Amino acid sequence: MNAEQFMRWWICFGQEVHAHLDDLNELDRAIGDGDHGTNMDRGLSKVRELWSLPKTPVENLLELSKTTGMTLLSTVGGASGALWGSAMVQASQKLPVQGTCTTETQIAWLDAIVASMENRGKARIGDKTMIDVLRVGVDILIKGDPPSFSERLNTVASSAREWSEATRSLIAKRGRAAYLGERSQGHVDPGSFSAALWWECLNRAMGE
Amino acid sequence: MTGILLVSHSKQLAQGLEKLLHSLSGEDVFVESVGGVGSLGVDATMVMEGLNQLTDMGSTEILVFGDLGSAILSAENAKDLMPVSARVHVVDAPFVEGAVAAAMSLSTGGGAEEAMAAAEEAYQIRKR
Repeated sequence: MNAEQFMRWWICFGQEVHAHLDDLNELDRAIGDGDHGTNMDRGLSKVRELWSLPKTPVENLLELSKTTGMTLLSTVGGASGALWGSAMVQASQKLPVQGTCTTETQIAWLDAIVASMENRGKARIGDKTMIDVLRVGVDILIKGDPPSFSERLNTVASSAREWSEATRSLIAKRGRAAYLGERSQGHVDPGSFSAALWWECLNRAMGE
Repeated sequence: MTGILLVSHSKQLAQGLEKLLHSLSGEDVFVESVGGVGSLGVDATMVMEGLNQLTDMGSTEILVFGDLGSAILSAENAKDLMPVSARVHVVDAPFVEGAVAAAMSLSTGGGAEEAMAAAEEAYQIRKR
């Protein structure tokens, strides 16, 4: 992964969240406070602004991950801002300050992002959260089957929405939806849907 | 000196609790409140500002109380990613009862550890 792919990925993520703003808010209205789309959209548009300023192009992957995280921390708010923000800051240490990173490093970094979210949010697979899409995806990338990274990433990107859809039948164990208990069943977790968009954009950015 | 930081999705809610703490335990306990104004919500930057205010007042230890889960996530982020000079403890306790227990413990000479234990203990005290 190089800096340009990183930025293309996050710009795509911001655009996709913006395009699904109403869907994400709608999902969140059912089992949360109805602002997941608005919050993520606000933060991701700040991330885009950061890179459009007239200054030397950012080529430092570590710095890109870190500043993306710090921006999300101070602009998204709520659990998503806290989880995405701290994960991007903490995992940034895995990335090089110069040049591109190898596929192995990229996978280790993606794993660190998800591990940070798991630690901070104390969520596991099956809790009806973003982890249901993120952990399953990272584990496929880690396992190395099929051997081609781009094939694995393709699988992850094309399955991500199904994994998000599968949160519908789950009972929320973490986050505000957990207060609803069994009444959270029948609704897709909004964080899992935005996480699916994130995988799709990574696949797109890496393919270009 | 130990300070108390109240983190709520609503600044009004935190400020109301701040008043309550001062009325129950006197004005000597350092209390700051942060939270959403207008649009409700909380982020790490707000928490950091509150922590800085308390360290400016002279707090060397700070107990942080949050109203809902994401207030606690934001507090942990501020603690880990935006270091201040005071020792920061994010307390797992009910927002109102925990903060009241901590303030009363501090106002009667308790230290940070003791106040934190009193706050956590508040989960066990039933109302009826």
